[in-house]
Amino acid sequence: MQDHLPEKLPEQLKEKIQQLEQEASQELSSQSFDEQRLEDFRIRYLGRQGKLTQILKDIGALNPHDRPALGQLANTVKVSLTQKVSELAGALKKTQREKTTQETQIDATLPGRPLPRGTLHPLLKTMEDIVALFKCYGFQCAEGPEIESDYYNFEALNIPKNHPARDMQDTFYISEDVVLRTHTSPVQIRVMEKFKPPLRIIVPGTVYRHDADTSHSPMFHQVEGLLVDEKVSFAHLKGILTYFVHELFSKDVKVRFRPSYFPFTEPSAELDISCIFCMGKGCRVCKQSGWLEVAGCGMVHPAVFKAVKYDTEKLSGFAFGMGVERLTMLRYHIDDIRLFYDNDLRFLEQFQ
Amino acid sequence: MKLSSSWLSRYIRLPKNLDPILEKLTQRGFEVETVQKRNIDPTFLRIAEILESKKHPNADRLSLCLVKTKEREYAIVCGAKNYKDGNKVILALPGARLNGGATSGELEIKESTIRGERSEGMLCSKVELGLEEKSEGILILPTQTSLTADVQKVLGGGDVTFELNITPNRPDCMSFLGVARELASILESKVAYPKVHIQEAKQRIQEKVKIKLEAPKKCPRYMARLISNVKIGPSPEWLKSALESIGQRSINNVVDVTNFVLMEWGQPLHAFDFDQISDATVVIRSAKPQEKISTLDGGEYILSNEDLLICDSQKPIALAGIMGGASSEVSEATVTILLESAYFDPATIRTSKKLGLSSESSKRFERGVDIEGVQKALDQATQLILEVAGGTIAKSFIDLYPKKFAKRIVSLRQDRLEQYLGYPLSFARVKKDLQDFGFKIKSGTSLKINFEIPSYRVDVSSEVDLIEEVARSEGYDKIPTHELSGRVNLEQPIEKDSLLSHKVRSTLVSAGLNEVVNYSFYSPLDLKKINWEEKTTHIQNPLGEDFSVMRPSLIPSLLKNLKLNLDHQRSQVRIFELRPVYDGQGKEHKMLSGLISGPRYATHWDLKEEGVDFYDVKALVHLILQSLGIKEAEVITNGTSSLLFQPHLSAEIQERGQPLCRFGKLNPDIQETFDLKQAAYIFEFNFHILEAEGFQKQKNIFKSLPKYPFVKRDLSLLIPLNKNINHQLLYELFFKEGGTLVKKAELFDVYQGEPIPEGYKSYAYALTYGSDERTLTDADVHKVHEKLCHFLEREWQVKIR
Repeated sequence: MQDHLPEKLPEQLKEKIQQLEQEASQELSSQSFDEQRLEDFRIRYLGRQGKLTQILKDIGALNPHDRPALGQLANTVKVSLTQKVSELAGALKKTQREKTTQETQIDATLPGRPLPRGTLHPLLKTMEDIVALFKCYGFQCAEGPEIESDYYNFEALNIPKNHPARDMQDTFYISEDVVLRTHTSPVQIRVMEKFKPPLRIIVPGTVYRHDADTSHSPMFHQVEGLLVDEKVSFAHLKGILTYFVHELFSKDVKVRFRPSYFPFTEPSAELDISCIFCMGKGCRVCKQSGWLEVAGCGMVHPAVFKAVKYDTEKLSGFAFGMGVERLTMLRYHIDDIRLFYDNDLRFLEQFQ
Repeated sequence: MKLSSSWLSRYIRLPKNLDPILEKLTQRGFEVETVQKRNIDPTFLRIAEILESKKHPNADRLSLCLVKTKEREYAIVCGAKNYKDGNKVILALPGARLNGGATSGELEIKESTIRGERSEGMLCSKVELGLEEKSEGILILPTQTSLTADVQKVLGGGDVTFELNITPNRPDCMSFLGVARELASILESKVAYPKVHIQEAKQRIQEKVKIKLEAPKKCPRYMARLISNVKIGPSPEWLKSALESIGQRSINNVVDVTNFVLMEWGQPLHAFDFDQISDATVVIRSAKPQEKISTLDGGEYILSNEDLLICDSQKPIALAGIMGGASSEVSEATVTILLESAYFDPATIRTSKKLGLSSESSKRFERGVDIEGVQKALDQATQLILEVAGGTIAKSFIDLYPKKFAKRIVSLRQDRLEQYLGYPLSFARVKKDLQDFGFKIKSGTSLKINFEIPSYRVDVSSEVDLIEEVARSEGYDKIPTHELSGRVNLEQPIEKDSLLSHKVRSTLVSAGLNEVVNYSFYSPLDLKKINWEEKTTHIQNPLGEDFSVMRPSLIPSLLKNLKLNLDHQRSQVRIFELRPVYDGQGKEHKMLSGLISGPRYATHWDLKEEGVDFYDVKALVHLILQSLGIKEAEVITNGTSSLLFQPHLSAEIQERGQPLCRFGKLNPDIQETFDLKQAAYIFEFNFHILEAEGFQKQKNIFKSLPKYPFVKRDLSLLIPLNKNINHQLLYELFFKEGGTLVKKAELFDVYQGEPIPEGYKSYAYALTYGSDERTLTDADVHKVHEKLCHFLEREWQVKIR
């Protein structure tokens, strides 16, 4: 039907567009909108049957040479209107959000819903940490039985029957030739019997001695290390144990190796660390000496290699053993060894 | 080994300040365990003579003493009784600070009036002077002590006593001379050995004594001397104070000499009352089975053939190397002494230890004394006895020494030394180090030296021993610190799956359980409480009956842990333990056991307080299986054969016919015997089954994500109670009958009771259908769903709601 008035139409449409723009602007500024009314407005002008949409359709019916100018004009109006509507909608949403946000009030100090969280036993945690430190150097984890034969626990480790060194380790007996192992060292023998050098093993384990007071427990834990290869020296032993102390405690802790005696190592040493309580100045814990004994170690005694038929000329090696209780007590400043075995949750839960 | 600087300075010049050399001793392998310095402040102390004493008029237990010092006379009220007029004592004047003993701490002396009598000070005991920890009465000084003498000196002030931890390989240092030798090498000085000049009489010992050595293996050397006409009495002051300085009690002059020489040389000696030895005959022989001996400590011991006896012609007179017999003990009546110095075989002496006897002598013999030093100590003691007890020494000595000591030669190679210690050492220096320790160079080249080992160094027999001596002499701190290098051989299957236990333990920790560690042994009573009937392994020499059984189950330990924590007013307890248990054959298996008890959640404002139940412990079991990648389609049987659990509230999971896990509610009877006021739910895994080689674990293999949407359908079932239909059967059925289109079956409701008709229970499932090839249509789903419903209705008489 518009086809009948082709020469007039562009002018009329232009006017109509300008009128519509004015009308819409007026409506937008004069009314206070809520979401619903804004939507109504949008549909009225921009919806499928909206006024502006209608005009755009009319423009589509014009002579091609009239279309661009009018089209551009209508489009500008459409873009501007659409933008105004969406701005207004955004503003409305924001106001709404602010309102709800202000209405929501909580006591942020109330405790959150509990999630379960237990604890590893501090001894076994320390033991794992120690093992992990040595795994970095290619040590493999090995285990052995706690009920052990006299042969593995003593004889093969160069501690024959009637050797005074047996006094160093008061033993629980199951029968004449079966004992509760007094140290993790029998695992050295068991592994060397089965496997060939070069060898690097780290042995965490439970051991037993006939002894009980505030600093001794009849059952306790050790971590044993053994390295066998050609040309292994005491200097290597010092290196790995110094690394260990620095990693487990801190780099400020000093280490000291002093001569000692174990039948299965020669030379033998005790590893002392500077007292971590008084920084080596001397206190009750270190008995004023400034040092704490943390491990026994040494070069594997040729008699031990002989017992497992290793070549004593070609090979050398070192071994070390440390008390996990002692290290854990130092680590967490625990003053009574019995706390480890009471399993009082007030104690255990401190080691999160 | 306890030593005092006053005694030690008989053999070596000591520096004034001992601290640096004590430190050095520790660095040489002789750990200094305790150091005691006698610091006596003499300002308010005086040497006093008791002029007269009388009873306190108003107190039965007190006396009034008039004493005289170098300055004046004092009136003192005294509670002790052990003095006479004329005794010299120590008087503490007002202002003195003394040791009040363990209970009262420091004691300050003030002038005071005691029950109406003035006291101008106090007469001191050894405890009060800080000389000893225990003493009776006041200290009585030797009569000849001058009132003007230096109190500090009289009391042995300035003396340092210290205790060395002598490792079992160094019996030579269980003596003053041994320690002096070590100190000489530290101080680069020489040991002054005691000089011995024996003045012998004409008559030869051989004419008076017969000694037969019948057990040369157990006694490689036996020596004796005879001293007659001795006078047994108190020891002179120097001897007494030497022994006292290391905390030993003086007995009499002769016994004190043997003890003195024992400490000096490390060679135990024994003095027999010669007149008590029948037929003047001594026989060294093995004990006969069941033979008895009464020792001088009042004990009686039944011996075996392994033990060694010193006998006279009729009876045992000493348990060789350990303790003398009562019959031949030196007494005040003793006139003639047979002095024994011997080398007994260490193993023999140690065997005898099982009699429960240990002495200063046996400690040295069992480690090995210096077989070549036997005579030196004997001569030294003989001479000293003459000096302190008079008498005459028979000419010569008896020395039964059938197999002479063979000199030990040990060689040291430079390359081996350097390889062992990890740094280059000048061989000239090494030679000096070892010579300072008394090792003699016999022969050698620039690469290898042969050393002769002194007889007292029983610990040195091979090259590594010499390497240690060099390291000790040079100092372990000289050894450099090298980073580990060399080969790593990870191909050997040494390591088991050590991650397995870590995985399980951290899973349980994240589920809120606390790990516990209990002793591996407990009381037979604990086993009775859980009705344990199988054989167990026992410790022969337990700390006590309560610690005598190697535990075959972790549960009693966990129940005791629960009890302890409940007693501490703790209600939520969740614990586990992963450790070995031990069967009757002494075989050990790893077991994982856990326990939960009390409220499900910690107290919280938005959570209902509910106790844990069967399904909580089941969830833990499930979690463990999941963490280990074990398929969940395990056989769960209602109830287990174990008496640990309450019947019908427990279940068991089997793995290839073996019980892998049991869990459920603790049997209320056991709860009662452990005196637990709340129920507990427990689980037990036979962990060794999981660790066994070849145990199939599901590997984590990625499955591609579903491409097509799923359809969910609810299925509400009314299940007749009499049909024994349980969740697991239904669950398995959905997949079996439903085919591959059934992807998931989730149970979301369980109900029984009104409005559900009687005889039924209601289970409601959400079934998820889907296909890997296409989007399912309603018709597809309907077909499968209907099939399931029909099956349930037809075969199992289940009603669909």
